[in-house]
Amino acid sequence: MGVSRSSNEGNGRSSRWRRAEAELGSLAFVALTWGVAAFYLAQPGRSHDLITMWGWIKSVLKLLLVPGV
Amino acid sequence: MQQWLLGMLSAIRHGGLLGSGLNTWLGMAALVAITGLIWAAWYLALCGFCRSAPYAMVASMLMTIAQIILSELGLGLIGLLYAPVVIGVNLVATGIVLLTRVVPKWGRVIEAQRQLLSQVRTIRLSLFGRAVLGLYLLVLLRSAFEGFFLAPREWDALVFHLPIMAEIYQAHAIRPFSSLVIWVRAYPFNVELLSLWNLLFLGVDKLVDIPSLPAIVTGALAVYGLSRRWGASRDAALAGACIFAFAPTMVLQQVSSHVDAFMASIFAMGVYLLFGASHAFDVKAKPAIVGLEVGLAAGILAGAKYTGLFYSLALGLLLLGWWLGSLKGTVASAGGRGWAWGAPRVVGPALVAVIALGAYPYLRNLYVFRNPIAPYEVSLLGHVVFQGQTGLDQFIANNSSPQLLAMPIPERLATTWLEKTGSLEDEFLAGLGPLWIILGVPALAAWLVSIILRRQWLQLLLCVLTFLALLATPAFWVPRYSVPVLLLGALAIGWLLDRLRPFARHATTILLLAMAALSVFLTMDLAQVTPRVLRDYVAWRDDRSRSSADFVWVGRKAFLYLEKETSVSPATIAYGGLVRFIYPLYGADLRNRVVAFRASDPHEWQEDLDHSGVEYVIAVKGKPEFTMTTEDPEFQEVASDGGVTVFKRR
Repeated sequence: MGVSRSSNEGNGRSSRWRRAEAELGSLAFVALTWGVAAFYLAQPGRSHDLITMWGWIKSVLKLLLVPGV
Repeated sequence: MQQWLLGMLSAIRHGGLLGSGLNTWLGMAALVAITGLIWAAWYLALCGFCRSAPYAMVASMLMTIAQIILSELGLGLIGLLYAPVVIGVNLVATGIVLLTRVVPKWGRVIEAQRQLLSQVRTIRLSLFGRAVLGLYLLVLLRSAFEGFFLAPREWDALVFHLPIMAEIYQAHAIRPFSSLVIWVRAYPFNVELLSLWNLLFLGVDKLVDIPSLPAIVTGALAVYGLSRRWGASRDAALAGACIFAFAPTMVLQQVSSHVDAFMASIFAMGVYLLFGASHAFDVKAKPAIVGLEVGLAAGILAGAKYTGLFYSLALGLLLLGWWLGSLKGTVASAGGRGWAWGAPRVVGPALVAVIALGAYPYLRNLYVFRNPIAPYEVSLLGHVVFQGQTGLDQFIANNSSPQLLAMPIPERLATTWLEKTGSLEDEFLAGLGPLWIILGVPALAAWLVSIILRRQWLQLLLCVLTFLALLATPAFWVPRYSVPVLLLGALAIGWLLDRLRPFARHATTILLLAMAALSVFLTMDLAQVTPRVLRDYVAWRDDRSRSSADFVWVGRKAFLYLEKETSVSPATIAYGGLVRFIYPLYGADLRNRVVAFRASDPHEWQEDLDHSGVEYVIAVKGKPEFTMTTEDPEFQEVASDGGVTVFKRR
């Protein structure tokens, strides 16, 4: 009733292959997404957003903290 | 600051708080209580035969929206759209739901709630879950603050969305409108009816720009529910929902008269109610109810926006696919006599719901303009089927910069999806947010490969139909027109996250949280509203003086003159061609009557003004109405700004 040696080897190879595939796929996904994130953050639109937001925060702080404004 | 605090304390003594009087606060309490009651009645009714609480929550939100729209549409068509009548009819309908659907199954309803509570008690939110919910709470607080304190101020809202609501409110009826703005006369108006619902309770336009908020929040819940239904873990499903919920368009349109985020949410709800049904319902109840739910979603979409028709059709085809796919199982056995008996049970309720909720604007346009989607010309194979004032090429040109149009389509998509040049708040160049391009698109590519390899036809059908609806949408590269596609990215992340190795899952979760936080942070400032104006609105204005007139783009001083002059004694105001921002003319409490005439000569114009008792005319220099009013000795020019002139009767 045992499983043949060649079948065991096949299963082992296939499971190793699946594991390697999952590792590689995961690595590729992380590399891709972090790469796209870096590219996205480097776009001129983001610096525009950050400058606008910083200006807005400065104005809010000025209104709250500087008397008579 | 001290003055402001003293003023606030003084207002509290007279029942006022934060610039709102006692009446407004009572109106808001009634709005929340009655809308909550309608929702709760449907929720409890669905709990009588539904095993999934999130499913019942989403379905009851859809039912609530549908009930409100249908009641207003029905009462509007017979000219009885008065607040007490609308509220009364809805209370009666809710009473019927409670008596016929909840009371007979009370034991089961209570048992379902007990089970739900015990399930909720066992849930231990992960740190990731807490962080996500914390961020979303920030978004909701921002929306509540903006909706409460600021007046409606978007271009489309002031030009046609809110004038439609105002016309219906003042006429107490739904009928062809006499506006000079084609969009007021032709645009579908389901979302405007939801704005009207808020207005009916308050009598001021305080909350008219948050009609979509409940639907948008529920849309995110639907995305989460669908991911869970398709096997995602709690955290993975939550991560998927982030793609949808934290897209800047979805955040910003929580307080907006724009209908894009609403449309994406209703589409997501329809898809969830369809694919979640086999798990949620008992066999017997399923086909007719699923058909009805999908039909309601499709009808709401069709009656909200012309391009909603594409997503409405996609939902219809998905329903057909789902039904064909389950023929061997539950539907056929429920009908008991095979597909010939099952078909009407599924399709019948869906068709009735679509027609009831979505057909009116198209039939009206067919009658008034001889064109169901006026003002657009409709051509088929080179033949003009319906004459129109403008073409889709004009629409595309109006919504895309020449630089964008000069690019090939993949480059246009890359430009707007990467949000290369536009701020996150620029709806023409950005708005899908970092999560979509960074995580949603790569995950979607992987998911598509997987569902093709695993032959998951219904998932594939969903992707294909959503993409087809997207491609059919004119100017689909404009982010706000393509928000329904976020659903696919969200489902893909929900599927992928559980399949990543632990290191990759952690790295992806960190990236997701960081980008969600960036999205929230960069959309926290209130576009067009400087902190100084914001302080003015929060500290000193009340519900009547929080006016859209402050935010018009052209001729602001002319609008502010009218605002001030009519604040004590309401007036009838006539406007001429090219006066784009009609809504501020009504006033925040819709006290003024706003009229438009199509006079061809000065004599007819004067007669129209006299006959309607017009006290003010607002017209653009160079337009016929300006010239004709100048020649009228009974009117004198009193204010002018940016080419917009106000005349007052002597």
